[in-house]
Amino acid sequence: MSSIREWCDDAGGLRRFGLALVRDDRFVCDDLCAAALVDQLFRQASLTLAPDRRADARPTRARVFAQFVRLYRRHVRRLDAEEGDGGWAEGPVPSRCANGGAAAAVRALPLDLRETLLLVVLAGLTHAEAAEALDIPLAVAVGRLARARARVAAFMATGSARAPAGWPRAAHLRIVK
Amino acid sequence: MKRRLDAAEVFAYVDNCLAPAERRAFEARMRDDPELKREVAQWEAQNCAIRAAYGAPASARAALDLGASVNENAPGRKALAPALRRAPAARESGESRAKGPPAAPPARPAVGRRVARSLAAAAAFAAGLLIAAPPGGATWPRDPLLDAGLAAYRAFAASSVPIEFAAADPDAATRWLVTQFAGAVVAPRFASDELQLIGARVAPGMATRAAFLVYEDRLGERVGLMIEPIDAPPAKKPAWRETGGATLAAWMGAGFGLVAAGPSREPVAALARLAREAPPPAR
Repeated sequence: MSSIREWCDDAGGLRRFGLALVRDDRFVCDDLCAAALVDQLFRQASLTLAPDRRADARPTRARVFAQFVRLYRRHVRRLDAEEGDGGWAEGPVPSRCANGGAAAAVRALPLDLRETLLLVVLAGLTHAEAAEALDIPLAVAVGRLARARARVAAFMATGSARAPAGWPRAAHLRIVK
Repeated sequence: MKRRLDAAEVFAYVDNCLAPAERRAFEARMRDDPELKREVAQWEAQNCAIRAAYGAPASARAALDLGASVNENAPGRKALAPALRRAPAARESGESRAKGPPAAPPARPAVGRRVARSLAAAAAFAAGLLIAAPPGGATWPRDPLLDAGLAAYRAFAASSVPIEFAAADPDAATRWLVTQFAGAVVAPRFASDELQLIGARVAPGMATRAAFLVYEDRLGERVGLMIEPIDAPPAKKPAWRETGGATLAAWMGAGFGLVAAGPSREPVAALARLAREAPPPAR
């Protein structure tokens, strides 16, 4: 089975991940999905012409998701530069998304936490693969994952960002006998 | 003996990132610690809630080496996919994903048990062959052009994905395609009451990127036509496949591989006929 076959088969998974990451903006998601897939096609073609074992060692699937994340970051940066704020942030959560549930909790997360959580939970990457995709150390990825999970739990339990009493805290140490 | 257990280990267990030996040790620890068990259950429930919210399969560790016929986008094979995915996932967790030392080999079973296992494995293999190649279904080796067309149809026409470039006029679609394919692909021009062009997009093809035109029939059902530029393909008559609620016809000629895909045979046959009868595009 060729590697082209593998990642083309998971176009649905990429789109689902993309929709969650871009907070249900279907047009942005489709553009970025197509761009990530086409980038991968060109990469595949160039690797066919000049095989690079070291570059090809990384799983192709993780690379497509990582490329989507990079493209979305670039998109956010460009939007932000056009708006002239000078900062690095997405816009507010769209009002049409202000319903309850896990999807709303994920949408309410900041981008760095959201992309880490979605790479692991929706895209199915390991923690190490997610850290590599985001170009951050593994410990930072695990920390972001912990914070994202705590926020989602708080949101789902109370509808706000405050964690309810008794809910397991994310980054804690416990003594186990 | 006391040991420190941090959230990273809990997350590693929940996200299936532990080596088999570490996983077994964690499960043993969880049996003795109801609080830890409750915590794991909560994070697992959260994972399930997030996956369910976005319509993802319960296990995100989907194997990708199974081909399009067990793609999660295939409605007819949804029930089959998780069962087939389990084996590669287990193999993966035991081999490539394991960062720790390999697990001890299992004890050799008795002869009778080995025979019974062999028979069971043979029966399972035969059942697998029947499931993988049902009567009337796709046979192996499959046509990669049909596979690419099927994937594009499921991703971009069968779902409610917006059109990348909306156009009812083939000339307008061609003007857009010229910018995407440097003039290599044009939308076929034909006049038909049966099918109306609604737009175009770029999709992954068999070996490179392809144009994917989306049409709507009189019932409002979407039919797709994938056009992939191919260097000197052999002329090929339409090959038909019906799989997972989709009907496809693929053919080659005039420097292109084409796939018409739709929910039923009639609109696909109409699109294939119209596209073949349309004047050949100039490259």
